[in-house]
Amino acid sequence: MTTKDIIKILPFEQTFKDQLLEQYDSLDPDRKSTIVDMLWDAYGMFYDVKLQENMHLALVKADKGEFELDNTFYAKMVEQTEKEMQDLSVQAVEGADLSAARAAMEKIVREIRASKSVKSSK
Amino acid sequence: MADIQPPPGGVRGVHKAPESGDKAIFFRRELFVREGGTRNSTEDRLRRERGQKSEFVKFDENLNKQYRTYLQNHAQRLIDATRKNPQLFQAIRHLPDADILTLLTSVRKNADGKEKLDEHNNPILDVSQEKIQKFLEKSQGWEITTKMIEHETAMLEFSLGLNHLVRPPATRNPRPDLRSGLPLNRDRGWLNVPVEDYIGRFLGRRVYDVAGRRRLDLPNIHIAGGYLGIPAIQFNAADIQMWHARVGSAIASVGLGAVGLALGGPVGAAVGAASPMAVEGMVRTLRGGLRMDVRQLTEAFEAISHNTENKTYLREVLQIDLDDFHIVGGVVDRARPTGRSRDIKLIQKDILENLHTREEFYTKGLEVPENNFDSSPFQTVLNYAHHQQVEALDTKMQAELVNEWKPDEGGIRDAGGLRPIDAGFNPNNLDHIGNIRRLMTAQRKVLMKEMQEFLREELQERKVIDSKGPSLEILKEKKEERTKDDGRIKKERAEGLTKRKKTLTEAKESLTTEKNSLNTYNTAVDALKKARQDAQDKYGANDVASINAVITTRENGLTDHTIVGSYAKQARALETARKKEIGKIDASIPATITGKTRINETNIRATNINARYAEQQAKLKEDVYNKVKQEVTELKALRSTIETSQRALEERQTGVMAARIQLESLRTEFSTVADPAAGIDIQLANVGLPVVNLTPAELATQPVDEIFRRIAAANTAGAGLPPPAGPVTIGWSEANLKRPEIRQRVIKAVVEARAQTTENADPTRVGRLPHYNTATNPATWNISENLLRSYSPAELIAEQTRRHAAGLVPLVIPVFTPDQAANAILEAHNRLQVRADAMTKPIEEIDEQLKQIDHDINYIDLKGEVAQIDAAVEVVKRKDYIYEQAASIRINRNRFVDTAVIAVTDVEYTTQERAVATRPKGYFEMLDLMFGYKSKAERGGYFEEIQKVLPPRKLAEVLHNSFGYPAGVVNADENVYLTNVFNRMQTDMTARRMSTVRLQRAMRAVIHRLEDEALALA
Repeated sequence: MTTKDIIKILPFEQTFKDQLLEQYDSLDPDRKSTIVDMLWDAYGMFYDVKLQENMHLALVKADKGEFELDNTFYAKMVEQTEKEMQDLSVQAVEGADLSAARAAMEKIVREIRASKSVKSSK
Repeated sequence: MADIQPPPGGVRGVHKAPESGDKAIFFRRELFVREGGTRNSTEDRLRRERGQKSEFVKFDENLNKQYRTYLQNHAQRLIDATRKNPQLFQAIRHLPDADILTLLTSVRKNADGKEKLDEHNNPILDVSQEKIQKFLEKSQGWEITTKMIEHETAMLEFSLGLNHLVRPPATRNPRPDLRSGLPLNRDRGWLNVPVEDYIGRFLGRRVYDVAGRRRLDLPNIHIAGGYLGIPAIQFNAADIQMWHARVGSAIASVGLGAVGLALGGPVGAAVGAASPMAVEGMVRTLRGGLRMDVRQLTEAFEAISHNTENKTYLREVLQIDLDDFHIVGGVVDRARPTGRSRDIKLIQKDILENLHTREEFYTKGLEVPENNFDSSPFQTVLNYAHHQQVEALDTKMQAELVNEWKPDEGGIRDAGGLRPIDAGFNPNNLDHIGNIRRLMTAQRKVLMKEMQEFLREELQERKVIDSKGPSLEILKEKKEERTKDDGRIKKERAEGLTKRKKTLTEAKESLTTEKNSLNTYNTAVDALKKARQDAQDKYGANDVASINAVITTRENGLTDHTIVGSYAKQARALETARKKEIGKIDASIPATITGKTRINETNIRATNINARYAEQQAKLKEDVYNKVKQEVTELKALRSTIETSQRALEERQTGVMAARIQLESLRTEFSTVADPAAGIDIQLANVGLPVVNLTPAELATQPVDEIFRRIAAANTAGAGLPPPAGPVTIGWSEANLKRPEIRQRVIKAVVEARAQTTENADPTRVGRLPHYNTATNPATWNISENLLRSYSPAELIAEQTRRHAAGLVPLVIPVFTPDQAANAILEAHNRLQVRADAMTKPIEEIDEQLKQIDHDINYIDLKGEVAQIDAAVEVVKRKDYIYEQAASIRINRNRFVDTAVIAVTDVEYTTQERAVATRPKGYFEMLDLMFGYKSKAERGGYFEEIQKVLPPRKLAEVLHNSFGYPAGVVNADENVYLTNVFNRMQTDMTARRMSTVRLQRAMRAVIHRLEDEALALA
């Protein structure tokens, strides 16, 4: 899991993600350091919410006798949550990459147009 | 609002009104889904016609204060919780408390500029008013705070299995004609009089001002029992209906349970059982204000009590232990008579304050019509199924909550799992537990989202949010300063240390003054104790009477030959023997010797006998007589010392009076500061302010300057308490605490706390204390502590006997046995001794610190600090990579937590690494992960530097704290300590309990530790 993957996973607005991804590599070291912490914190919180949710659901199932509670409960929840995060990551990264590619294409097109416009005005 | 001009320089963010620094003004669209959506159209139109601007909302000074107070209290609670459990918010991450801690606090610094660390080696945090103000300069700050208040209120209420309803369910009926709800006049004029006459007296004067109450102005309600017989009041139909709803059959049938009743106690049988809040709500109803009702809601307790994180959070942050309660017979009851939760009245107070603050935010701040909102933030979850609508707030955060919660599409379900949009949905048989859980989860998510929004704004504004500021830039400057070293750093640091030295010296002087004030008295007590002990050891006597008896016996032995073994008897025996021998001389001389020769022989033999006996007599005298004389002299001297000391300990003596005053003042000042019933903490709690932890235990263990700081903080909080409850004077101000006489008072409290702690830890005291208490109790013997110290056991018994004889003490109170008397006296001495020690030990500690400061002043290692800064910069720059590698620690756990040691012959390692071959191999791997040292050209030399910056103990400590391992893993040997931590990690990873997120957080903790330490370099 990379920091850029996290940007893609987290439920930010797409424009914000694009902005972050675009700026990320050129951020000054101090800002980058702060943002890296923030992103991993947010990822951690996201993970926690997911873990919490999975635990709740498992407990509800356990209430109904559909889930067996034993001393591997927490391990199972961790494993399940990590898998879900991983799945989420794959989906989000694919989506975000497409979106980033789209944004990059648009940028290139804009630049080409701008360039043409400058040439034609000469 | 007409005079408010648009903020200069743009349309974003919060801008202060020019006329008041405490008014926060926001663009309406920042907070609302629709501009003007909360106002009725007529009002908006009128405003527009008048040319008034409606696009702003403002939070007035009072509301601003309420929010600041809430954030201050909340941040302080978080600080206190993390002081007790540093890993708390790494374990509980479902609320943005870790961010709140970062955003609203600052790290306390020592005089030398270094971060002040607590007992866990974590930086000590203080709430920063400046940061709170900054936080509230953004609309998101207000939104986040409101959500936090709402969430906390729900947690508090649900933890007691309660739910408050401020208006009846009918209020938000979806039918348009009833959207305005029941008439809610602010004041009902004439009705106030009977209401106040008949009800107000039960609630106190504050009922007169119900509508105008402010946060922190909600004293506990006490109803002294009795009946609310108010038949004389003529209510209209609606009022009577409400009356029954509030205190009549509705509440009686629902039942509050023991906990609900504990909120206030029954009002009276005639009207059923109602809490004071219910009664207050009724009053407010009658006066046209908001209505408050309290109902038992065991489902809420169920929903919250089965969640480990909730339980931990409630216990550590909100001080409610859910294990104190359980559900019995459908109501929440106490599970044990005394628990660890704070007083229910305080919880009640927090709930009321939160509800009131929330009310003001919506009504006075956002101007949401009262008809549109519930005063209880979770009323929605209970009413929704009936009304199929949430509060009509039209705020963005409300919209986000609904969007997250999706009540129609699964947020709300009936017991059969059907949603409101499903056919057959049964609104009368709801899955309350699930509904509450789903709403709470949604609430948490929205909170997190709000926080993200806040952080994003900061990013967009290109501001560094982290409280540390641009650390790499600062570290670069620090390194440059040290590299050029023009002597400034050493000078500044020496100045800082000198300042610290001055503070410590002052503290030492204060303690010395305290100690000296007992000197005269202590000298007399010590002299008495020593004389008694000497006399006891040598002569078996320890008081004047018994010494006199010994002297008499000894002196009599010199002259009274009837005393067995006495000198006189022995001398007399010698004389008798001598005479007997002399008498036998003649018979022993042969009869053949006659005349002058016989006489001469007789004389010679007699002379010899006499000489021998004279020698024996002399020896006897020397051995016994002189010794007795010497003993008697010594006994008389001891007697004299005892008599002199006892006279010095008579109650009227100046030294005794001074000591008594001194000892009493220790207790008085201790009570002033730390008495659980009257100290600073309870004074704060009584006015609704957070405590500052001035408990006896804290007083006994914290440094004196920390105690000063907490007292000053309490004083500041009291002074900032808004009227009418405040301002109040609690403790002393920072300025006053600099005055010697005030400092002296605090020092006394500290000394007494330390003494009491020592006493309480003494297992033998329990055997002495009852006799001491009986001796000093005014109702029994009423013998002063001082007199006890002057007595021997026999003297104490004699005094008791005398008092019996004089009729001063009833004969039913028995005279002590010698053992009991000795216990009472020993305890009196012990009480003095522990207090004297409590004054001496801190002085010795300060001496040690002063010695260390002297050393530090003379030894400032700038080269080592440069290496430390370089290492910190390296890990901060590698942070991205290190976090990304967190997963690989688990995958390659056999390498990263390898506890085997490297062989001294293993050429895979450099000489410098092999020099510390006793360290577990995993240590080298962790260092390589953090610093990448193995790929450095100067691997060995670099390793030498970084292993000083991150030695095994430090790594073990950070990992230990981060993973929340038990104290048992700690070991005095740093390699064993780290090995223990590695073993625990290995177990967790093997058992699949160690998530990547936990590992990443641990790595983050290591990085932050190194970064913070480098930044703390003065």
